[in-house]
Amino acid sequence: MSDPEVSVEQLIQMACQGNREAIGELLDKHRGYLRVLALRQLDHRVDARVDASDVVQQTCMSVFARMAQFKGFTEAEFLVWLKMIHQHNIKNVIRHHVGTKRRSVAREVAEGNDVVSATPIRQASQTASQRLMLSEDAVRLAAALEQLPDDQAEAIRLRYLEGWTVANISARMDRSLDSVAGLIKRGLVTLKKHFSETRSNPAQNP
Amino acid sequence: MSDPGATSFDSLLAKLMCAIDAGETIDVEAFIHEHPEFTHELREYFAAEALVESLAGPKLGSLRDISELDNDLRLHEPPQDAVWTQLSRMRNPASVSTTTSTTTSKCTSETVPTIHGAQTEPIDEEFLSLGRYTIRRLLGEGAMGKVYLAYDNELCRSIALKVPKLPTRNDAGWEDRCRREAQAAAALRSPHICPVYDIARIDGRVVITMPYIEGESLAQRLDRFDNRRIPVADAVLIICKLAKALQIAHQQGIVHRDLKPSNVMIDTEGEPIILDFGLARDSRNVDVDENTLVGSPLYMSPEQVTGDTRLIGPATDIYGLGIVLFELLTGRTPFVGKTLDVLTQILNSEPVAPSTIVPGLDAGLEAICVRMLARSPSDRFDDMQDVANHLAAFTSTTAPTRAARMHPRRFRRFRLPVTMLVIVALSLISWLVWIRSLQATMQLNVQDPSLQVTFDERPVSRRADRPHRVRSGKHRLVVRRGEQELSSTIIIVNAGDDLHLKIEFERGQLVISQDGKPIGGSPVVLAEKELKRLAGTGQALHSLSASPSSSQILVGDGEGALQCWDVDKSELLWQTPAHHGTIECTVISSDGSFGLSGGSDHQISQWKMATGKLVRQYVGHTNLVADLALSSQNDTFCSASYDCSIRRWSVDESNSVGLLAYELDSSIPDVRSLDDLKSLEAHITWVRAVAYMPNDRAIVSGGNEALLAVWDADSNMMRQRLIGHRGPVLDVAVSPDGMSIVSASYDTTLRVWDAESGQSRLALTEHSAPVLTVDIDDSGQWAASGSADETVRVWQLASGRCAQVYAGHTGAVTGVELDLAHGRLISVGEDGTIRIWSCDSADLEASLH
Repeated sequence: MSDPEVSVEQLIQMACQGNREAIGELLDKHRGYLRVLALRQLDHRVDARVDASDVVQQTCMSVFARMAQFKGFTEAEFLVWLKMIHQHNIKNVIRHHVGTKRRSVAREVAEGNDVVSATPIRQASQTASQRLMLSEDAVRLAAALEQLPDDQAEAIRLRYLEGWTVANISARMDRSLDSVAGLIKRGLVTLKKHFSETRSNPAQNP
Repeated sequence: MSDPGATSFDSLLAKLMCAIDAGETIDVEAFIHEHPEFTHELREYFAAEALVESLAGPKLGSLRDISELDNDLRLHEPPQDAVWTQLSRMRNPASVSTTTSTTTSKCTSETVPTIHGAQTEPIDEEFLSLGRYTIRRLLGEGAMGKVYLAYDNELCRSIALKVPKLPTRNDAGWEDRCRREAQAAAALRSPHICPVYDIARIDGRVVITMPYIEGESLAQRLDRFDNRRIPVADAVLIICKLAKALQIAHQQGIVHRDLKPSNVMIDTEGEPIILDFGLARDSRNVDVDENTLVGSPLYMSPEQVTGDTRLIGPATDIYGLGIVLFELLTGRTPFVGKTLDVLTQILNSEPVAPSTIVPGLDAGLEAICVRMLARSPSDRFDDMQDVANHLAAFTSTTAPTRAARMHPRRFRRFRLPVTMLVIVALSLISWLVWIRSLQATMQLNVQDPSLQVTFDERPVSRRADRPHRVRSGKHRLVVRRGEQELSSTIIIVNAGDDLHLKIEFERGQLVISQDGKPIGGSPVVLAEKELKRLAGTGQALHSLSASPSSSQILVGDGEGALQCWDVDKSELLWQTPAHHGTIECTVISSDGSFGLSGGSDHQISQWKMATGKLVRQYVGHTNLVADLALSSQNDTFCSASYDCSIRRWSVDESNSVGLLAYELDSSIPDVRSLDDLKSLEAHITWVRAVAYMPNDRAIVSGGNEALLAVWDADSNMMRQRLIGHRGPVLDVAVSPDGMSIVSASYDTTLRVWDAESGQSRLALTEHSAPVLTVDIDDSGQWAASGSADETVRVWQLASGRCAQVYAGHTGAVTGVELDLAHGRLISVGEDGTIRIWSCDSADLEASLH
């Protein structure tokens, strides 16, 4: 059971010194975050959830292996470093499993008649209402999401982290609009309770 | 689709969410009012949603992201190295803003936002690079188009790139009007107006570049406060500054038309800056487009709603600014509700008096605000200066009393001059600070009294305690003793620099040092070593390559013409138009039979040396080809390009056989630290130099991100990264024994690297301007470098000492070839000349002792 008194910064410090338990705890706190990030990019695939868990696992292993290389102190710096590793692993998944249209990185490839002028380079489509997910708050939100029932977590993730319309969520989850609204409502209320409880501190006025 | 588990409340929520998705703005309080039976559940829902929204953080698409992005983009400074200026200009410079998302205050409060915004449609980023700009991410999208955070590869800085949306109707003059408006906006100079850098047509799109302003928008700042209000004094000061800036614009005939808190940035100094100036919709462009209104109705003036173009003018901006003032004082706009309701209110209703929302608000200030919001334009103030004058009274510390209102004139006569002075002084200071940032200071310390120093032909005071103000750019520093000119050095000054130059004699040699680093003077410049000069094409020359024994050279100019000279006979063998645009690089095969040229037209061409005929063209790069390198067997070659890739080619085939680059479909990785650079798998910005290792087993490349990479030729994998330069790497050469790599950089230095370990062995710092080109002699002992300081220097590679300086070019030196076996050095420059100098290893040795 984690000691609520230990801050993330302290965990980072202990982790850098090689305390494996601290690394484990640090990763636990960020697991939901990693999953959300992975789902965002792997979402379109058939076995998105399986792939996402795989990647999260790989990132956790990478972090274990490379913790000594991390030279930062704050959670913000840790997030940057973590995201970089995670991004690398996600790209590997995409690269290895997606079809022949994509070229492989830094490998000799026989090329046919190539493009001549200004090729538009495609980027994964993004929406303006996607959340950047750069802050420690986003990490805590994602961690809290892990504790919700799957369908509520998914509905909330799609609505508030990915910015989907209810119509799209309804189609994706194969539930009625009302049902989706209900999922979101229940999820939101549970989240709010979670955060009020974890913030309640005898030293403060609730 | 009825769901047995869903309650009627769920149905209501579903309808609410659909409405928001459709783009409606919902007034939360009004909504709760309309459904009193669900009051408790609704409050619970809205509060929970607000909490989750605030935890989730900023969206990709909102301009507010800027301040949040800053926290993450702070550079992770490696402990073993100094500040990485090149990298830090690629991302935002380490931001001062430490105010992060205020978590606790938002989460615990029960306040609920009063307005729900609409969510936008998915956007497909269609392009990643646009000419010299690399798009990083979308910053925001508005009625007039999209704004991206982009990286300018030419000037190596982040900028905001605006891509206006094409008009929905067939509007022939749209682009012209766009251009004219941008020109007019570009002429506006005020510290409170976001300047326009450039408007250009790239790849068929009109783009406008502006500075990327760090900070937060006024809307963001308001949201940080519980009641969305800021202190009255601050509000008035901001509006005053904006009014004065708008006055300047109005005098030039520019009306903003889209003033609102999200269009005003507060930078890291706390200064307000208006965005989107003069780039808003042209008044002839229809605002009301069939069924949909463009832009937020909350800030629209009555004349904009009715679309009466005769009435739209500076007064429209006064109205807009009035709404902003209202919002700063009260935390909300005067008219709220559904779109149609708001529009009706704008046309028919009086705005609610601010003092009803904020009791105790000064009546005089309220009167100003209300007057700015008069429905008829002519009832508002005369102009923005008038507004500023009236507001000035409220920027003082003592609050005006009722007496002030009753005798406004008399009171103002006392207070106006003082407060006006304060405001004028403040804006003058910020104006001066802004002007000052274009300049630099220089201090000269000349020890020897017999020396005379001129700076750009003007004598310079030698007193070290008196700094001179100098403009940024290129200057010439000349040191004389009596009649004799001892040295002439080019000094390049960047805005904001604080230079300390010292001129003295050391061991009988003149030494000029900048901030402790020797930059010129000694050894004394040799102009008389020039053997001959070839005519060139009449244009600036950009590339040079020599055949073995330098008997023939290929020279390319800025207009695409390629020349082949016989050096010994000083004869032009042939000349041909080779590229559309500049010729950036040339190379000759080691048997002298063919040559290759690469240009800004993305093309590479092969030429038969004997005849000058085009043999083949190589197609594949999608941007300027910056450098070429031939393998020793002359059967394959490599090309480096601004499309961020290196391509490998077989000489006999038109299509490339290999590509060293990031996946075209994936995004460029974020680089935020030295460690990130070390883990790159490919160049992430322009590749500007490439060379083969002598055994052809490896390729060395250098790019704009200031690193060099060594690639294994068999697997095409990057195996080493050479990090140390502080500016783009412009050229690279490898010693014949493969032990050393020499790189030339924009940071005015050359570096000698140990090829085995990847460590930087030496830094050659004596050039005073970017080093554009480098060549290593076949002996492997000496290297020649050409620089924008108009000199060529010859260095001893083992020691790093400069043996000789060749001066005479009157423009940057863009190509050098060193052939000591034949006692000569060849250089070409932007002055259009090809110069052949005498260069002898015995002389070089001698001058080092």
